[in-house]
Amino acid sequence: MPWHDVVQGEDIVTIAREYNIGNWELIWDHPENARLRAERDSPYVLAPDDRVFVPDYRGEVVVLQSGSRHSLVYAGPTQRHVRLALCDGRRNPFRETRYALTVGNETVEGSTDDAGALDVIVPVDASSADLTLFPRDGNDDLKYEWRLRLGYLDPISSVSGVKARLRNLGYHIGEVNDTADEELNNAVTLFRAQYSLPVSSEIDDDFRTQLRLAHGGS
Amino acid sequence: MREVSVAYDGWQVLSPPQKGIIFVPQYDRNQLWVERVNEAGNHAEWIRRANWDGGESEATTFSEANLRMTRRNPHDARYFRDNAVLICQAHGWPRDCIIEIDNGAPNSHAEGDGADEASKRRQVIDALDAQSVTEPWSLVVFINHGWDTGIQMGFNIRSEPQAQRTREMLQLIAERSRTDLVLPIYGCDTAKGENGGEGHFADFVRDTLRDFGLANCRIDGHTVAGKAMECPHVRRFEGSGRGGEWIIDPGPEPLNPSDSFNAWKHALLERGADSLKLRYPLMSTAAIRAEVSRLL
Repeated sequence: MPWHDVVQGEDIVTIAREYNIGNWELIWDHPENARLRAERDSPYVLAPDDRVFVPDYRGEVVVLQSGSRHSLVYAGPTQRHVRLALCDGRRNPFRETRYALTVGNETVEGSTDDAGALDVIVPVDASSADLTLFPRDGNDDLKYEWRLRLGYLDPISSVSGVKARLRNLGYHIGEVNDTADEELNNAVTLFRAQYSLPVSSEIDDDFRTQLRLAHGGS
Repeated sequence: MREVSVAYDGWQVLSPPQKGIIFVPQYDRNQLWVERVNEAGNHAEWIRRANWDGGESEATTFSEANLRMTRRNPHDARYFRDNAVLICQAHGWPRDCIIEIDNGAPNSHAEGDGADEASKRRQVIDALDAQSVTEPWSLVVFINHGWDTGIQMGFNIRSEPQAQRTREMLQLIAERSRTDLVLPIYGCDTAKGENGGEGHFADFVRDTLRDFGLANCRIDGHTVAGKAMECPHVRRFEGSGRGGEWIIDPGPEPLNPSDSFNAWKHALLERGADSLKLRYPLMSTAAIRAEVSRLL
């Protein structure tokens, strides 16, 4: 029971919530997870089949006076952020551009900031959100639509993590999986060319470093 | 709806998918061949036009009763379409993004490459109209013959009425494209001329698309006649400038170009889905020059 096998869509926060541990750092910082921390840069990006040590946690001890009414507040996160920098294929930000983000039955409408960024709070258990961006004022027919699979980004060390990031950057990647296929080769070649790396389809350290810079996050 | 994987809480970039459309003529008429038929209407011989002149006086060929326009150039290697397919492969696009324009009809307008100009324009317009406006293009490609005032697809700027038709076509493109649209014209001469080709066809395309709101559009055009995909004399028209800039400057001596230009020229001759000729429109000038410099 203390070892948890990660499945797609989980990160440390969702795992902590699953085990009713309010402070996810109790898991992430546990000495048993030192190797995991070394392999994964971020508690928010885990790979399927990663193993996470979950300490036996019996909760906080609170002393309450009998005969009185008390309010106890859950210490763990109840909300999470979706933070995106939206930009075109040449990395020009979509400045002050209208968007709509729908989670379940709730839709948040707003505009990106001067850097093309949006920061929307979603329920902690949200696993997907639909984002629509309207890049032209007065023309709602022209739009970009994405289904965001929240928590599904794999580590950049995996083929699926590379594919997902290239896909997020607009490259033509079909299915995001662990298969190194021709689509991936073509996208890697184009990415390397665009970022002035020696042209090849090789996924090496230089490529991963540049991809991490271009994509952001971990 | 495009599905993407996102991490919670951290900042990350999201960009729209690349989407493209490629226009090619069905028949390569660079070296126009006509067919002489006998009295029974059967094939007698192929006759090659000595000089293709941009198509200003094609019609006389067809007034002769015993000549007929070939529906297919017998020496046609399907050069344009083959390269369109390679572009699709390089970018992972479906083949249906290639729009083949039927340029096989004889022309009575004495203008263009022998096909009916209005027919070709109509086909391009219809293809543009038929495209969804919901997911805009990032890349619109023309692979065809060209000259400094127009392209084989029936659009030119030789007169104000012609320029207006071209504007109408570009407006349709603008309405369906991203503001950072890349539009390479793989064809002769569209960027020819003094002052960076100012006032010529590629410059006109950039200025018009910019006026229609594509502030960050990028047009690539050639300054000489040559193989459409492999020509190294490429000017790039971007932003709010006037005229275009060399991607790689051939230098003042055409017979003795720089080492960089020679390297660029040879790189464009490479074949395969990862070759530079297919990629460079999507690369910044700095990235192209960096790649060429590594070849020296």
